[in-house]
Amino acid sequence: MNNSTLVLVGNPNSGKTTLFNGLTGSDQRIGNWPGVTVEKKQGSFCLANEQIEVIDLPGAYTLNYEQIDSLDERIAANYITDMQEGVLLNVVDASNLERHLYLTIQLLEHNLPMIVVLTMMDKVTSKAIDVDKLSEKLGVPVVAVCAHKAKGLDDLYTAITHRDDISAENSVHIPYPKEIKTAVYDKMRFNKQLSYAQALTEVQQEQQDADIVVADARYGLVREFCKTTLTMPQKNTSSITKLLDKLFLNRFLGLPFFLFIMYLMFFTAINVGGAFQECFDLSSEAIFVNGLASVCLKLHMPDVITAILAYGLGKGLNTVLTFIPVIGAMFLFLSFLEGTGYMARAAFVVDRFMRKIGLPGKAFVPLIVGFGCNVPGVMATRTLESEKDRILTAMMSPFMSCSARLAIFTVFVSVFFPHGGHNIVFALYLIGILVAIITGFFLRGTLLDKSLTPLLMELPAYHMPRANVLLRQTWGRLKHFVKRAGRVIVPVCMCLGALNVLNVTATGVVIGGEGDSVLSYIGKFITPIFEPIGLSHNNWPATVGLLMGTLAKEVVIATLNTLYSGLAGIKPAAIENFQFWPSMVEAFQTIPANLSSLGDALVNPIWASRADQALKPEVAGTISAYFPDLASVFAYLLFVLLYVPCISTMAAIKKELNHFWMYFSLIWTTVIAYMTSAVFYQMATIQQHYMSSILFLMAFAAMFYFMQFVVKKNSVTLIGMSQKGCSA
Amino acid sequence: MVAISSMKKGERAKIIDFGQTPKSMRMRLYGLGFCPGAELVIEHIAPLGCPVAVKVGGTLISLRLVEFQHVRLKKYE
Repeated sequence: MNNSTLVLVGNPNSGKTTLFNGLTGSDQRIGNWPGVTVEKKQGSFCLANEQIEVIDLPGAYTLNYEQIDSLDERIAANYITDMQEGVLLNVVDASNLERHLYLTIQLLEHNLPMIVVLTMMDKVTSKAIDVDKLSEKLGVPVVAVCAHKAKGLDDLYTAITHRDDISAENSVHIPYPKEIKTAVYDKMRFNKQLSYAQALTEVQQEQQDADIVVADARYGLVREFCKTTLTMPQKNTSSITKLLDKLFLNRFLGLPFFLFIMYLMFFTAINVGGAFQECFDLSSEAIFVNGLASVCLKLHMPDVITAILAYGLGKGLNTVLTFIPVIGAMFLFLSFLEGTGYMARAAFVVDRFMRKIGLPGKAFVPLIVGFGCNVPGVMATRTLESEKDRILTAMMSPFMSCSARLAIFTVFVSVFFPHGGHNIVFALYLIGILVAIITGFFLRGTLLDKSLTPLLMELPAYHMPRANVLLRQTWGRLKHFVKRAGRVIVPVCMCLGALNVLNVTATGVVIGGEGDSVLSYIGKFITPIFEPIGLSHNNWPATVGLLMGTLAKEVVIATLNTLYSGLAGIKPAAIENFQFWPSMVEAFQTIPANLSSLGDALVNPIWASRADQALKPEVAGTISAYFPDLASVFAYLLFVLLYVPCISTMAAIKKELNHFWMYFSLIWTTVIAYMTSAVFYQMATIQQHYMSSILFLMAFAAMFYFMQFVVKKNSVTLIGMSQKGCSA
Repeated sequence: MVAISSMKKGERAKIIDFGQTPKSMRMRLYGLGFCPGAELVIEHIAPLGCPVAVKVGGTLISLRLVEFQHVRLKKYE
């Protein structure tokens, strides 16, 4: 039997991950368990000239589950049931022996070689547990370690080296009542393939109250073990935890404090992280866009190639890299919050309110982050335990109006709504939130389970996470993002970026020169579709703005500036003047400049996070001519609010969930955006054209019901497709 | 015999049995330390009364009243 795989199994918060990190060091691979969106951690290390593989199973409280929502338990249970080789490392928190042994008992019944690792030994008084007695009672080697301080690891290594001597046969007899035992043996006789553990699970599932009896018997045995091996009663909660919880879980102070933490998080991720964003943006632009373009120019490459390479591929890389500071900052802060144990408290405090919209308390965090930028907002959904909640939150996230959209709103509002413009913006935010909630209800009624994920959650003791662990976690997640999101973002950027820069001139398709870009041609062609939402067909720049907005909302204003003032796109003449090193210096100089303006952000982080953009004065005049009435402006802003978020958000959705949900979000946001702005515009201008307005409204109502019908009718197929998770 | 909704902060109780609690919920509860005979203490109550944080077997667990409503408890005076 090949025993060179160690399988870590234990409760959440048992110190399992710390042990995993301690064993594997930097030699870790993070992926996903096949078919689901749960993180899978694997690593390896060298011991006595052998390469040992380590797999960290998701934390599980029990191997007997019934609900689909216990995804973590299901993965752990299935893995162990199917395990043919390898050694179990059962991580047990020494300060919570009774509860952890409940899982240990279940593991023993699987008849696999196992070593019990007692962690958190620093929390128990040194002689409180008779480790040898416990080992004798359980029939397996027991090693005491303190993973944080790397004490006792030598004993663990010794035990691992001698793993081949461990008997897989379970020597512990759990006093189940006779009826249960008979039922189990009957099953095993009937089906030779069934193991003892599997038969026991089936008996519990089939018989009405068998599970109560089984749990009772198990706990009875566990209590007996504890009585004989614990020389003193287990200490109650640490005083720090008690003290902090007095504040964080206080009936009155808990909520305000939570809002303060959310404010801090937003500030750190969006404002502080954002301060570095310009540097990443400008420097990656200097390297991958302008730098590459000037190299292409020097090599006399055909324009189409330059367009695809520099303005497509280069732009794509630039887009991906620009997100790194914000996502990195957010992950760091979230890792910190989760590592300390505060996240569980946050979920506790906010749960009641979030329940009203069908989400658990923890979902508040990704949604708040989404107000700064949807990309880290979607990525933050991985902190939610249930896959269904992750899907719901990720689908609702795009409707949280991000800071880039805010820039667009402010620009338009300053031109068209000089008085009371802030009300318009506020209304847009509210509409976004409303549509998000409606999306939630729609999904919960159709493709997703209607039931609410149970809250049952452990509130772990507070502890200070180690900086290197946080940094390593953040780095791993960033790497993962760049790899997976990049695969989506770069191709799309290559298309749009290139099309935007290639102009159709008399001499053919070139960069620069007279004539409209290919993208503009497409825009002109498509604009008639947007007539119902108020875009007159000569307003094609607005359409191109929307198209470019699928790349990133930040470029919409720039695009509109360019098109409305009738200038050509990015000129290669500028490339000849491009200087690499000054550009890089300029890029890095933005850091201190942005950091110094952080003081303003303290007061209103959301406002401060919007990109600094304005319409050129001559454009402000022109644009009014193209938008015939205020209703069409609001309709346009509604569309910008609700339609496809940038390609990076789509990529994040694909990475956190799967293809299906990415396309669903794409289609859903666009359809909702179109219907909402069209309905609004038609209602607002109903006097001008009663007949066509009413026809449109009827058509939209019909379409809405049709969509619901189609989704409900194909729900089985769609649900099947929606559950195909991304593979590692 | 009482249900959790009638308990106040600081009160202790012992689990008698799980009453009408659905099986899926029961199986989750066992893993967290809730079993017949287990003692629990109400440590915190959230704004608006729900969820509650309960100490059982040395662990602090948050749960919604509706999840625990069928569990029958005997209060310690």
